[in-house]
Amino acid sequence: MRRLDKRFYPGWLAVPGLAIYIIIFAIPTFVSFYFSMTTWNLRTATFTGLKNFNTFFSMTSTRSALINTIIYAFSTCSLKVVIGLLLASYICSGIRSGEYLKCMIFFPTLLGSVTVAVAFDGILNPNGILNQFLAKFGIDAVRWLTNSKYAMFSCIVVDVWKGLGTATLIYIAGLSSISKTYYEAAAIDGASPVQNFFKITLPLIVPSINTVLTLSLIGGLRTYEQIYALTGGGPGYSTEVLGSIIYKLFSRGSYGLATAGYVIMFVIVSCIVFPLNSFVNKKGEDING
Amino acid sequence: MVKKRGLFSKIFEIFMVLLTLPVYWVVYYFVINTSFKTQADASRLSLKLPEVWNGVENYKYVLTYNHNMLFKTLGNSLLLSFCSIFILVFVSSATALILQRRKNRICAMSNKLILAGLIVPASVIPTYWVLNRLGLANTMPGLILVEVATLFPFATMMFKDYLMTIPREIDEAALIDGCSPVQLYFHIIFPLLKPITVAVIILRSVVVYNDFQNPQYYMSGSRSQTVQIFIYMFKEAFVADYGHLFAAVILVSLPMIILFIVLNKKVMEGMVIGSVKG
Repeated sequence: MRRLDKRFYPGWLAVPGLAIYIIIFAIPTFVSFYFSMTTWNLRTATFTGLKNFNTFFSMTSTRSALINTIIYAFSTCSLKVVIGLLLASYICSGIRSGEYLKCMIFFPTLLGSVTVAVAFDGILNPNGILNQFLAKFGIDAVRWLTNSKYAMFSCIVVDVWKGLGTATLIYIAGLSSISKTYYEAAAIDGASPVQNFFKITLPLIVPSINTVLTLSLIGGLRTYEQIYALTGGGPGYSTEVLGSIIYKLFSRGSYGLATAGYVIMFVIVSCIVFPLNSFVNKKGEDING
Repeated sequence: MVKKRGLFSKIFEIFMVLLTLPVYWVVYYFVINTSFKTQADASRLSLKLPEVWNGVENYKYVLTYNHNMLFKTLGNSLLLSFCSIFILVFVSSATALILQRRKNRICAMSNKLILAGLIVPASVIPTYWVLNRLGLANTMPGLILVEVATLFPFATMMFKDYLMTIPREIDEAALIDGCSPVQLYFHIIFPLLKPITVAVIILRSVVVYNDFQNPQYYMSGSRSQTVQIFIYMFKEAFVADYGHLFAAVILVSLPMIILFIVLNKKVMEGMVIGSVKG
């Protein structure tokens, strides 16, 4: 059989794909560990040990960036996981406007981060329409993007506005694959909608929760362009994240230091996402017996 | 009892539908409306209709700005999306076929490597260094390769999942009838993959078209840019000139808006198939 496999499915068919992936993705990932410990100008690299990491952690901007990245990733992720699930359950509950709501929630997903940032710049501007609206209730103008107290919060809200569609759609797909017979049986036993949600829907939707959780957490830890376009990392370092720090180090030519930043991001993503992923999966197996 | 709940849920549904007005429609209305205003009028950031309809001038200005830069960048973006998705579809489906059908150590290792790529972030600077070595840094082919490599794990996993539903007996029947392995892939397997191929194409085109990070890094030293970089540069150059800015925002988003209107169902389906990972 194995011999037949070789003839039927010649290995070279997989070579182009794997070659591109390994050369452009895998090898750079591996060598980054070495380059993170060097002073590097793309041509010559001098080994300096852990000096880059030392420098990285001693900079104020990078320290706040680390904290901000965690806050940003966890807030956007949990909001998407929860709001997405609630919206999807509501849309799937057989309401008339389900299709309309689905389209509305989904559309922003198709827009580019920078375009969304530009639009919200006009809305969250100190004289923007949000403050004009709040002024009607006697609330003083809030500097949503230029006050360090609110800037991160605004970035999180904009990201949830844009990214909620994906989460909701994944949940809708998960919900529509749950067999109706569970709910019919529950209806005979006189279960309330709340009981339905917690006893039937939630345990069976765990795989979708895991998908949304993983995708939005990884996304939140990596991205920077929307925040960068909204606030430029400011005011001060209040919205600086790892991604924007790495880009800034790259553009000023500190390649070794920027790679050290990448390695830190790599470690954070792996240390959070891999265990979380298996934890949620295990929880799902426990519940489903 | 039942009737009472019916009334409440009706009111709640109306509330939810009305909620889309401030959350979504006001945003779109504000952007579209402001794009027709003169600079002074737009800077007031109001929801009122334009005092003077300046739309033609705004849009013409954006379209011709910096020697028709928008058209050039739009062309680049469409070229980038087309080429990378074209290559992606073929290389990832072929890889998926081999990895799904053959079981040996190399395949198992490749599998693990690809799965890791779903989670691990891309290391930008070493990638830039590799491209530089290959003489592809700051070139369109280099950027295309980067996009293919970034999207490769996801696409391969999607194809692999789908291939599990295609029985091996089909392959065997074809091979017994004298089909060569290459013919098997092109004439039998690839057509059967159509639903997932459509999903990959739609979903990943959106991702590549909207990609900002890769062009920012790998085309930083090039004169040809993509639309996402264009809108960013435009934003930097026209701070608070909302009439022009929003006209540019709409023009850049137009391909996606058209895609959504024309292929509404397919786009949403594709999004779901593409996001549920294997």
